[in-house]
Formats: sequence, C-alpha cells, structure tokens
Amino acid sequence: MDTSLLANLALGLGVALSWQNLLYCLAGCLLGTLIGVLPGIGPVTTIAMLLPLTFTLPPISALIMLAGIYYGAQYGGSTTAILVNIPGESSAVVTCLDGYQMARQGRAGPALGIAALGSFFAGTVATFIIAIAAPPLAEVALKFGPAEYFALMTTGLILAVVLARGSVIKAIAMVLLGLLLGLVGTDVNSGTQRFSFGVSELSDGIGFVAVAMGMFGFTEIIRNLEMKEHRESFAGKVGSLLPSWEEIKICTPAVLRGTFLGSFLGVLPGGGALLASFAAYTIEKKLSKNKANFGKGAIEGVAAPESANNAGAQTSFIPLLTLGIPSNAIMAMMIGAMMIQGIAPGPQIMTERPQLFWGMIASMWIGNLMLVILNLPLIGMWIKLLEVPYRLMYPAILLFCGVGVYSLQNSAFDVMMTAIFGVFGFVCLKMEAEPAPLMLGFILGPLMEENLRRAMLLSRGDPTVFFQRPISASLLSVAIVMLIIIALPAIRSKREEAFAGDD
Amino acid sequence: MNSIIKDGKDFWAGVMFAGLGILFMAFSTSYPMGTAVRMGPAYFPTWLGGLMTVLGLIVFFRSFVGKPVASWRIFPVRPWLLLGSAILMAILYFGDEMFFKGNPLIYKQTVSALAIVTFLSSWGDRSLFVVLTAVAAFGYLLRPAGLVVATLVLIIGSAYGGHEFKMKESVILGVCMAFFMVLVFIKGLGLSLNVWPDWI
Repeated sequence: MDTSLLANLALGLGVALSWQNLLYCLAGCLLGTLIGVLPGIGPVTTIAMLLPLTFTLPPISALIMLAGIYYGAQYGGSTTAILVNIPGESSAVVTCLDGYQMARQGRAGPALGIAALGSFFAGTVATFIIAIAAPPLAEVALKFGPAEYFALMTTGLILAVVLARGSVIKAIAMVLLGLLLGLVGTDVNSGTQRFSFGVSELSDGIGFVAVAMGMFGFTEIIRNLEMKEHRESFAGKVGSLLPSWEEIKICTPAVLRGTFLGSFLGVLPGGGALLASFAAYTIEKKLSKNKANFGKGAIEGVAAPESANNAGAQTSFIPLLTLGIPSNAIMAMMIGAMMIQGIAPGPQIMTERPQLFWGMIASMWIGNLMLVILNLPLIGMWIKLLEVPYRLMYPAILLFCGVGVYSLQNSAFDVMMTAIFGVFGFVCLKMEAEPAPLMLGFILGPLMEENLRRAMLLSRGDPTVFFQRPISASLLSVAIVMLIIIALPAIRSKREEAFAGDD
Repeated sequence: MNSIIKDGKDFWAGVMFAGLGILFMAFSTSYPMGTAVRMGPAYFPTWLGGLMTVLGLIVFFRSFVGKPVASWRIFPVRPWLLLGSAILMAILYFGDEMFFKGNPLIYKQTVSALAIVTFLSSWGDRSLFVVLTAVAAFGYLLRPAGLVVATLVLIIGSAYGGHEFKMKESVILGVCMAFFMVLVFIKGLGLSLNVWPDWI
C-alpha cells in the first residue's frame, strides 16, 4: 500500500512537473489570484470567468490550471478580506474579523503571512489525505450499481442543502429546478427533444457556463452596482510578511486543529470550506487563553480558519474524484469542465486515467507551494489592484465573461442565455433562494435520470430496490434522518444561529 | 406592513417554483411517459416538476403565516414589459408560418431581439437591464460588427448602467479594452473572431 502510494505520487509529480503543466499551474494560480483579489468576486465567478481559457488545453493541463485558479481565487479572497475587510466569498467572512483588525493595527504583513503559511501547511496535509483516502473510496464506488448511485446523488444533494445556509425548502426546490434545467435538450435514451421549443441551440442542452456565469458572475456584479460604492481603501503599511517566532508558536496548534477540522468537513457535501472556517474559528475562540483578544486582531483567529478553509477546499475534491459527485458549486464547475474535456467523472478515472488523477493531485501541492512563494512578494501589486475603482472594473469583467462564453461555441445565443440567467440569478437573490443548489442539480440532472432508469429497469419497476440494497438503504436513511433533524424546531434555530454571522 | 403577505420573498419564490413546476409538467405531457420499468422522456421531469410544485406551494402558503418579515414588493417588476415580451415570444414560437416564412431572416431576428430586450428590462433596477442588454448586444454584434465595435458597445453600455457614468472615461476604457482584446484574444490566443465589421 505504502509503496504504491509513493509510486502513484511519483507518477503524478512526473506529470505535474512537466514544464508545460508547471506553466499552466503557475498561470492558473496567478490569474486566479488576480481575479480573486478583486473585491466582491468569489471563486465560483473567478472559475466561470477563466474557464473558457482552459478549453483548448489538453485535459490534464486544463484541470491543473483550473485547480490553480481555484486556490488562487481563494488566496486572493483572503487577501482582500484582511486588507480591505471585504470577503470575496462567504468562507472568508471569519478571516475579516481578526485579519482586518490586524491590518488596522499595522500588522497586515504577519496576518497575510500566517494565512499563506497556514494554508500551505493545510494544503500539504490535505493533498496527502486525498492521496490516501481516494483509492479505497474509488474501489468501493466501482462496486456501486445504478441504485447506489441514485441514492448517493440524492443523499449528496440533500446533505448539500442541509449543510448550507438558507431555507431548506427553497434550496430543495432550487435543486429540483436545476435537475429540470439539466434535462433540457436531447434525451439520451429516446432521442426526444425535451423543453427546447424548437430552438436548435437548445438541443444540446443549456450550457453550464451560461448558468454558472449568469447566476454567479452577473448577479454578483448587479448586486455590487445596486449597493453603490462604499469601499474602504487600504492605507496602512503591510510591514514584514513573516510572523514573529512568538506568533508562530501561538499559531501552530491553531493551524493543526484548523487543518484537521477542515480536512474532515471538506469531504461533506455543501459548504465544506465555509462550515470548516466557521467551526475552526469558534473552536479556537473557545480554546484560546486570551479569548478577549478575538475580534481585536488575534492572529490565531486568522490562522485557524484560513487553514481550515484551505484544507476543506482541497478535500472537497475527494467526492469529485472518487465518486464523480460534486459537493459544492465550485466542484460542479470542475465536473462541467471535465465533461467539456470529454472526461466522464467517476471512480473509473483513477484506474483508467491514472496520469490525470495523480497528476492533478500532485499539482494541488505544487500549486499551493507556488502561491506561497510567488504571492507573498507580489502582495504590493495586489494592493494596487484594489485601488482600481469598481466603475472601471466591472465593464472589463463583463467583457471577459462575454468573450469567454461566446468563444465556447461561437454562439451569440450562449451570451444571451448568460444574460437571462443573470436576471434569473438576481430574481433568486431577491427571493433568498440560493444559486448553488441549482448548480449542483443542473450538473447531476442527466446522471440522476440515467441511474434511476437503469435501477428501475434492473428491479423491474420496483421502487423498493433503493431500500433493499444495503448501501443505498443506508445512504438514503442518512438523507431522511438529516431532513427530519433539520425540521425539528430546536435544531433549526441552532442552524440559523450558526450561519447568522455569514451576511 | 400590514399586508396579509408576511414574507414577500417566500410569496414570490412559491409562485415561481409552483409555476415553473406546473409548466415543466405541462410541457412533459407532449413526450411519452413510459412505465416505471421503461421510463419515457416525460417520466423523470414530470415527477420533478410535481415535487417542485408541492414545495412551491408549501413556500407560498408559508408566506402568509408568522411575523411580517418582508413586503411583497421585493424588487421592481414592469408587468407591461413582461407581458410584451411574453407576447413576442409567443409570436416567435407559434407564428413561424404566419409571419416569418418567406420573409428575410432579419424580421425574425429583430423580433427576437425585441423579445429579449423587453424581457431583460422587465426586472429590477435600471442597472440590471442596461448592463445585461449591453452583454446580450455584445454577443449578437460580435460576428457582424467585429470585436472592436462589440467591445465598445459592451464597455460603454455597461458603464452607462452604473451609478457614476462618465462618458469620456468609459470611451477611453472602451478603446483601451478593445485594443487589449484584439491583442490578447486574436493575436495571442488565436480566437477566430472578426476585428472589424464585415463590410469593411
């Protein structure tokens, strides 16, 4: 087992260290940070925007670059959180609490430094966890029949809804709507055109880039425009990036706890990274000797959530790589990217395309390393970028989105669909219906239908098959128990409390 | 806020989910249903649509109970424009034989464009539809008018949708971005897009 692990990692490093892939990894990290550092742009938008750049690349390079974009975006998000108190995404909200206070006290340098170092450590550990945990999981998943897959997807979707914030009923309705939108186009089994209304562009289905970019990117821009400009600019000095020895000593246990908590929570569907950073912060606050310092610039308050966040971001690749199931909107984007590259996500990736699988895992670690080495010196440049006024920035962002969507299929129709999903995203935002569950459903729609069909065909139309097979029965009972628990009033108020800080 | 609707967000979300659920079920009736053993193309969407309708109704009725949270006016909607776009879309969908057969394609394209613009402008603030119309226009201008013109339209149009529009500034930004786009996407990445309009 151990030797095969090393051999696999060596194989992966061999792939990831080719100069070409190193270049794409670097480009991904830099571009990801560049876009991610812009205030009000989260990782999903960043990936949606930069996704079209990767389509012409070979699959492995494309995925390596996308993973790089993801870490870069996350890294950029924590930079904005610390320097100007704007979380690029919800998981950076807790980083704002103490990080921004540190920046105001002139300790921005150490805050950024510890965030980067903690993230790197967490990333390293999480990469190993993926390498160790993925093969046995994929082995189990290979034995899954259609009934198990259907149960797994159902449970995954329900868990994703329960563990995320917002109204559960509305989120499930959004999942259903996503599933339905995913079915638009030609039905694989019968060749029937479904819900395409004679529009030839819809016969291949709605492009997932259009959905993602519209509902995340455009909606975010519209929301920012609505709020008018009230941005804090960073005036202070960054100072030395390296934390003092004293600070490192305080942070080490925090980083360790954050990493392990994050690695565990990241595997769960839903807001893995989000939940991880909130939980890590709360735990540090409880365990710390100087509780009073939290919220006033405690460095552990930056170290723990940042490590947890990054570890969670990393381990959320586990369900994607082993089961082919996305656990959050970002992973849904990755699956979409894989499908565009002609890779069917699922447990067979590891055995059929080991180079791709292990190359991607190895590149995760390399990407993390690059971020630490490259971005710390570049911090000055990122700060400059924060000074660009939003009124100049958003037209440029829209332009990149527009060219990106258009160039997928040279289709103006796709651009128009993106605009329509922008409106829809805005309407959903006003109704407090989360877009992430829709995205998950959208990706899983055709897969779920296919597995349901096969399962029912094998069982001769007996729906109890899902409760007769042990794995599928236990998965579904987890989902049912979760739904019952969430419906209990006491738990519901606790859940609302847990996500209350996140606004 | 003494209205009977206690939560406007839930009210509209319920209407939307139930409405879309019913629509999906209605459209599914034109496909074969099949049986549980051999599911036809209508089977899965009908169930999903039904479930969504039920959830939508729960959310809808929930909006009438409890403490008042939000008014029913959660964002501006222009019903007349929405109706207009619905009529235009119906003409496009059902009126193919009557209006567009034998006429130049430009007729149908114009009606489509009108339908899209009226749809986009039925919702939300001015910034929403100005910005998104600029994006949609960009897509449709890209092939006939070329990257430079399309870029200028998108940049100036979307800047106009913001709150602090300065003509001079956005023209400069547009020209710079057009130059940059041609350099990076056409010269650099080798995308096959027109730079200038067809007729030049």
